[in-house]
Amino acid sequence: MSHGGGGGEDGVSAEPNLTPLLDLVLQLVMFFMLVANFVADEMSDKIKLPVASQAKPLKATETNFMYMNVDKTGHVLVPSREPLVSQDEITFYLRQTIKNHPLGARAGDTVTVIIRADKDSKFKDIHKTMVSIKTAGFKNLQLRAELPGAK
Amino acid sequence: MKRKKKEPPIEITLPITPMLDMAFQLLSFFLLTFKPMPTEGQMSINLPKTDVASTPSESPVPDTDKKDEYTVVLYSAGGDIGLISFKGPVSAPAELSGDNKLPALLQRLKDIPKPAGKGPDSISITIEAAPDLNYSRLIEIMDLCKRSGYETVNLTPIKKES
Repeated sequence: MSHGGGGGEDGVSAEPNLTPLLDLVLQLVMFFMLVANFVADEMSDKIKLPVASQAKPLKATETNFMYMNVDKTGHVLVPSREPLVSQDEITFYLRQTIKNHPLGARAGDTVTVIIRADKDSKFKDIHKTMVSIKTAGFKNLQLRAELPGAK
Repeated sequence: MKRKKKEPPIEITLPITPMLDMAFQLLSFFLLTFKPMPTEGQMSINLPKTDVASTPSESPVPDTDKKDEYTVVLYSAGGDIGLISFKGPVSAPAELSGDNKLPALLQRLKDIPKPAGKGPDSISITIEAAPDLNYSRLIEIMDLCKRSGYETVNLTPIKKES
């Protein structure tokens, strides 16, 4: 007769069931993979947003939006492209975005542009971006801020 | 006829331990690189008026839809707010400076008289800001406007005659 944990003469081999543990670990891996890659592409983490207590979270109904990240030097950071510096460059990029958008020409009316600007950027750079957004044909604009106590 | 004897079922044992090792490595990688995004929110803003938009429109706004326009002018002092000028059709123009300029502005915004039977939607707030004003200071003023009940404001660079 063998006794658990005994280590007697019979040579008891303990084989714990690892399958539930593996399931759990894979679920955790999946969670972190999803959370890590969800928004990283468009939202630059180089931008430190200003704090505003009255900022409202994005509504669930607002599904068509795009981000414009403005760093502290006033350059607009765009995924997989060089930063945009001049107003003409920004306007051209936004016009191309409308052109390539699945909604086509209606994109200007339905897509909300959200400016994520660094708290140390200057108003002239924000205004330059805002004018480009309007010139390109977008109708809806919002400024993004961090809610207090978020960190 | 002799019946064939059933063979014992083959027991397949998959080596789970290496897979578990790999999963743990992946998990530790994601745990170490995980950086939760701070909670962010939006502030609505009207698009800036361009020269084309400022020409008289063919369909003038009816008197009932006209809004009382108030202007908050932000002068910069090294990126910070140096002086705030507040003007409107009903309120007396005011120059706000010193440490209490933000609470004073908040009070003035709250004190704006609303037309009878109408709410803050009947008031239009325009913020004129100096070009070198820090964005965080601008957001602070927009925050004050929202705290006073004005959901959407206009943003424009400071006018030369101001």
